[in-house]
Amino acid sequence: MAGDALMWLSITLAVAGVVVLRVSWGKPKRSTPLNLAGWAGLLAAVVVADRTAGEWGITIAVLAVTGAAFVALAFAATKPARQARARLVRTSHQGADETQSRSRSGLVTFAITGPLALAASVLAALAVRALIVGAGGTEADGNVAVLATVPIVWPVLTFALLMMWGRKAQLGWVMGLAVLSAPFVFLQGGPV
Amino acid sequence: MTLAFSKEMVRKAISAHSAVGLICCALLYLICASGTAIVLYEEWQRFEQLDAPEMNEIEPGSVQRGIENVLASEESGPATTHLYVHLPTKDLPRTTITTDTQAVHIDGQGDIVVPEENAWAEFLLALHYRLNLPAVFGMTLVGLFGAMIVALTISGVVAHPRIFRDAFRLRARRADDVATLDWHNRLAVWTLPFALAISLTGAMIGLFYVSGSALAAAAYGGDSGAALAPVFGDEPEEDTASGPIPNVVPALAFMEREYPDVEPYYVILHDPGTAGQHIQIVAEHPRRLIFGEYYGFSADGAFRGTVGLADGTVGQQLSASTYNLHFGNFGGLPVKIAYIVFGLALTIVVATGTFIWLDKRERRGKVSTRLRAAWWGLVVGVPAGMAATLIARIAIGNAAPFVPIFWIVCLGAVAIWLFRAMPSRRNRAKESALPAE
Repeated sequence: MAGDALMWLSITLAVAGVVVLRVSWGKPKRSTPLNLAGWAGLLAAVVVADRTAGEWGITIAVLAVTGAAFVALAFAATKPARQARARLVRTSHQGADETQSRSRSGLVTFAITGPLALAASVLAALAVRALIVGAGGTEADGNVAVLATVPIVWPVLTFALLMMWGRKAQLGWVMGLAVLSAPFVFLQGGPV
Repeated sequence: MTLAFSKEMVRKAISAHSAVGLICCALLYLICASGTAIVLYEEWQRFEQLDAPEMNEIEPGSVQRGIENVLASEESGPATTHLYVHLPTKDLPRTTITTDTQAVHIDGQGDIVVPEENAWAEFLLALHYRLNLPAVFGMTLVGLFGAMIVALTISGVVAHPRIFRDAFRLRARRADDVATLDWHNRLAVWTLPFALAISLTGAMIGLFYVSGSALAAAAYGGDSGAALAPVFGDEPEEDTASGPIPNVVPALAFMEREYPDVEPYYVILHDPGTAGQHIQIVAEHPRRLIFGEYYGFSADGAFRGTVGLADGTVGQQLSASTYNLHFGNFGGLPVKIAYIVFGLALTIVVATGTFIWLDKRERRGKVSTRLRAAWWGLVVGVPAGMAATLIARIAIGNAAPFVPIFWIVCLGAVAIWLFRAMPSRRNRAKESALPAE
């Protein structure tokens, strides 16, 4: 079948893309042509998969990319460790705690980033629904938008809030989102 | 190539990543480990009941006979509101009829052979889906943790400025803190699309009690069913007056004739034996992520139409795709194997994340012996608990008390590791004899 052949082509492109990137990123100096070729391979894999089998094809291509990368990692894992070792583990994690304020209450942070941010996200999701339905979208799309928006907005908001140090800023963002979204709760309009 | 985040931003992101990870780590580990195991849900069911009748396909007439036999067996009890016939599929080549009160396997002629016994697979599914808690609490909790994987993914990317440069660097044979960090970062980076796909779909399913209830309250007077009706279809008005047993033969024949490219795998009878009864056939569409399309029929098998999961609105297709994308049952065994490998990787990412935090704590001079022991206990205890329940299934049977066995083994492992970490009496005596610093 032509579809089968094209899906195999997509998988081959995906694997080839990972191999080329592995070669490129393993060089002491990065090679722009190799980098571009690797990314182009991955892009081509996704495009071919999409044209052949839509969202199913894209999913298969992404799984192939991940699988190829895991094979490359398996080879890396078997490489012998270098003899010389640094005394200290130098990672970007060092000093991470220096930014932590000693006086901040974990409970308040939890309340803001947890229940309050979740409530604000639910209000934002209802606002998205009102906008979709208001713009002529279908009721089904609006309802699914609510279910899909909460798991996206809440973690993004939580992460953003945890990146802020001031309580005022944290509360401002949560309350701001809630206040902006709240009026839309009254514009749901019932079944369309 | 590096991501252009400032040092301060990276530090804040690590801080956020650690905070979320620490709060979520234990249950997240349990959810990831059980999720990996449940990828083989159908295969586990076959393993649990090796003597159940299997077939590659079944004649519509035999399905009808099976339905009539099951309904006849329930004549003396309360009438079932729904009857589900699972038709043989590649992953689960069995015909199983489920009502409100029982589930039985039938053979190729439609005769009842044996009750369905898959309590272990169901336990495993419930452990992953709702942590064996009541659905409203368990599913919500799992959904919340799914959303937190999204937060961990975003913070992890921001916290990892050398994400591309180090993408293939795995110094596993150092067997030290660096190796732990490399395992965590490399597996997390490469499973990023997988992690996002399963966490977003999992959170969408799990948070239904939050988002769906809010939607129902805001737009449907609190009726969650009405909120889902535009997506998954509506239940027609009930008519409890007595009616004949519905005839699925013309419905299945219609599917074979008019939709030869789809694969029916469920026949659902709504309110069988009443005047308001109707038939639905769920059919899988090859090379689609959707779990299937609902094909509606009257009780005598006349086609009424489809719901639109395959070709309806974007929202309908998206919501119908969440289940398969989450559980990895859209591409046969190769996709299932990929989901198991990547699910294991995600489980390792969660486990190593906490070990990295413990390593860092110890490098700062804070003794973490008990915390480390407890974490090791959980890391070992969760798979040990699942293995113990499987052994119990084989040794005791379908009625084994899986939930207590799992939690006793799991928490027992934590207790054992904590006990092993306690300094012995001799060591304590030695320590007390040392002069104070």
